[in-house]
Amino acid sequence: MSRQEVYDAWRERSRQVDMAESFADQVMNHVYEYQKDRSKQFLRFRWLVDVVSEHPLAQASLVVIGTVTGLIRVAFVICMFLRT
Amino acid sequence: MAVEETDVIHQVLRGNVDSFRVLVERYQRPIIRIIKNITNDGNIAEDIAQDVFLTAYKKLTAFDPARSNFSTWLFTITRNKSLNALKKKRPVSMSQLPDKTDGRDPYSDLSEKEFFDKLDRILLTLPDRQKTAFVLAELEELSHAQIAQIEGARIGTIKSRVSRAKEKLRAALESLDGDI
Repeated sequence: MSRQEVYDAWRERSRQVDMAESFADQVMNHVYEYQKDRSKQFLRFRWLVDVVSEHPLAQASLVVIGTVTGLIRVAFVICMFLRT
Repeated sequence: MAVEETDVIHQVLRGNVDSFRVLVERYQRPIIRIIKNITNDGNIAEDIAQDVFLTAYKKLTAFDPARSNFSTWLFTITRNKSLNALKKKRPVSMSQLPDKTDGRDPYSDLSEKEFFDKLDRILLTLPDRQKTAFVLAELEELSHAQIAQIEGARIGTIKSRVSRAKEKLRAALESLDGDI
């Protein structure tokens, strides 16, 4: 057997693939699971948006939280400035 | 075929998850083969291949057909994941390389499988860049231009890597068998 024949036989063997017949099904199951999780996350976010847009109290709470956070940030910057 | 593939990708991006199966069925064999040949581990090849397809699905919006073919993009993910898996595995020591024989016919001492296993191990000991270039060029028969895109290198560099890998395998063959 020539060197080239040995190499060709090895190359041909390396090109063979043994794989589960259900491989594509397994991949698609993972994809469906991922898609389901993503949909759940989107629904959760959508629910939050709906709650905020439908309830004035939720809107007011959001504004208060935003204002307080902003004030804390401003106070922090002023403190930093005064220290230097 | 390329037009059809683009259509399939658009369908998936529009929310038709089932269309992704077309891409999986089209590329499952080459993907598993590339992983198997880079890692030299058939046991983990399917797990990595599943990860490749899931990553491709998650990042499909980032695929730009103007920059590359879908296959090139998918093979790039495959190459990167294969090399990552290889890094996690134990490094191959030189002691695992086949010993130089005394010039006897290898088939008198070794079964075909053993002989091929030794060649597999030599492939595994090649530097990563040479190995991936060799696998993509010689075993997948991709063009040098496509491999250059996958590897992020120039075509000349790819030719040189493939050539060096072949030289090493040839030298290893000679050291294995003397003169078959």
